[in-house]
Amino acid sequence: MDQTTRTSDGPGNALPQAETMKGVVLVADDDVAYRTLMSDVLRTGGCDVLEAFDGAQAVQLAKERLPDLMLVDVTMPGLSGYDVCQRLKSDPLTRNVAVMLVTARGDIDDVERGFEVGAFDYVRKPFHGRELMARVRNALALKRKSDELRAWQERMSRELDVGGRLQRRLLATNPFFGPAFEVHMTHLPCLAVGGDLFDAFMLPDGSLCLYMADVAGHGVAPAIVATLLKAVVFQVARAAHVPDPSVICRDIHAEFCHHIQNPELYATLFFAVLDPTATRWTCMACGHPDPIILNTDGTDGSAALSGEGDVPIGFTVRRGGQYQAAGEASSPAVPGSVLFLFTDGLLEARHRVTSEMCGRERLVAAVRQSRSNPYVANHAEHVLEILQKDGFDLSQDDCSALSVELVDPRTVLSDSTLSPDYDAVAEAAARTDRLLCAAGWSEESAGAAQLAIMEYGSNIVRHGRVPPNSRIGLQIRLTGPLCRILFRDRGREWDFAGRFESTREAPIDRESCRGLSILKAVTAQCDFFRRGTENLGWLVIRKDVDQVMARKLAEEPG
Amino acid sequence: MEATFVIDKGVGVVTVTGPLTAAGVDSFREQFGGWWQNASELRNVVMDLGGVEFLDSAGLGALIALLKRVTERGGDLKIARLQKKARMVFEITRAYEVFDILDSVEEAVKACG
Repeated sequence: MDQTTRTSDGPGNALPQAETMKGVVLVADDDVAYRTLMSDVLRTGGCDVLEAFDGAQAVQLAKERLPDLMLVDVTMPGLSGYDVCQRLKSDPLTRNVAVMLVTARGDIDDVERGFEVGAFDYVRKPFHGRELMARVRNALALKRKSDELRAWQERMSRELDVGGRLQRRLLATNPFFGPAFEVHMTHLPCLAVGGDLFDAFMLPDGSLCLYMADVAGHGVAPAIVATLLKAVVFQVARAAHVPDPSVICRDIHAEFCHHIQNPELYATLFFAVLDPTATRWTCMACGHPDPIILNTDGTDGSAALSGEGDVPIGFTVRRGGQYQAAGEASSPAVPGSVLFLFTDGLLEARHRVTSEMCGRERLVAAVRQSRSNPYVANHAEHVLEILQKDGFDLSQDDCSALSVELVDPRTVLSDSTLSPDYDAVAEAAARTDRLLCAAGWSEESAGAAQLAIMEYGSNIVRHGRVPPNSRIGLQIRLTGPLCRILFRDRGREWDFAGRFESTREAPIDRESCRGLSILKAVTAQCDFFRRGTENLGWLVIRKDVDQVMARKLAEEPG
Repeated sequence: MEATFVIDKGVGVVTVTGPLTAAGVDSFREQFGGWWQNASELRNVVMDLGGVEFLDSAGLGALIALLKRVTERGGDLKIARLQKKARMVFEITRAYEVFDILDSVEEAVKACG
């Protein structure tokens, strides 16, 4: 067969694999005869064809229509095929359009140049129609695969991103505050994220729900199960008519088994409810270690909340009778007492030197030690610090802890709302100063608390964009040598923590940083976070801050 | 918060009484601006903060802004009678590196030369 001059197989001959010729092809050639010829071949093959009569039109059309493939003649007046290719490749919009250069020239320099400017392939004129179609078919197939791969990569990347953020939110350890309680949480993952899970939230009737859970195993599957479980727990608890832990656990178990039909996947769970008057705990242990309760006198009151419990969530060994009310435990909730939930990673932590296991007794002692330290507010975190300091290795398993302190109403100095203006903030700050002086604080230390309230409050007024009809919540508590200040506002979400970190090297005359620097200096602890649509600012001032600051000043050079 | 302005031996003495905070700082700056414009022959200023029992970052910001205005005229701004709580803010922010702080108005006026 004559291969050099034939340009078509002629009409009527069915082309093999015609369906793989689907795609949009742009043909650019200033020679109308060749352009028409190429277009005809491609249309016969099943492509949608666009035509351009010069380089400039080719570039323009490519941007508008984003074809799958372009056949571009190399020698055109104005923009050459090489120029067209270069322009398309340098524009992010058209970078992925495959360009095949068509030319009568054929020495190695031209070929090389073509690939250098980003051409996908080369077709020589005069071309055989079947060769052209074979190359175009190949190019379109590759383009399709490449598009699919890119789409898959983007989806995976998005999903992993969502997954990662979800995991971080899952184990967010922001404190949770209510009028009668203060909840702190902490988590030490061993390597990657595992199956520990915990949270605290309010029910519509004013009860507080909290739980600690541990999904069996390590790795991605338990992490995914943990994500599901968190959603299930929240949904079931919020939908419960009556906040009975046994009923809630039963429904959680049912939902869990409905979604997860794998007997190897289950989760231990401790679920506790504090009633709306904050006077009674009711809870259910589903294969999970019983919590520790520390009474106000420091004695171990855990026995009061030790009930029969039931099997872990997702266990299907027993038929019927699961999660009955008889398995619940209930006890009075005493102001000033502490409830401490944890996962078995803590219990089973081994001593680095003696290899003995931490065990429950040692854990109780650590909670007691934390509780008796008047400078500690976050017992969850502090207990883990104590264990590590005592030589226990917490890195072999995920370790999570949740502490609930029931607020002694006598410790609440003030609990009010302010209108979002400077005068109201100044008045609240001055009032706190007077209250602390009356409680025996020095002028400087009381002044530090006044300053902290003024700085943070002013920040809300100035930058928070609080709706005019909304008020700022402010609670001041005095527990021993600690003044605990809690701000709540419904202003906009902002990266307070990020700005706070950036104040480290800020010069004095940068207004935006001055206030935050002051906050950092006068507070022993300063946490900002967001829950739903509410911003919370938690500041802790020590009674001896005057001495702390004096010491710091004395140590400064010059 | 109240502020008064007198001229003592060719030095402008501003006496502030009450808290100097975000709650009153704007009107204070305006007031000073008015005085400063009318007293165009003055170069130096002494801030008597003996009556300022409380100062925050906004108050400090106002003092810094006033210092800038005064130095633009080739003069200086000195602080006199800084009280405990205000001193705390100066120490935290190291504003004592920027301002001269003296124990009495007389000393501060003298120091202005």
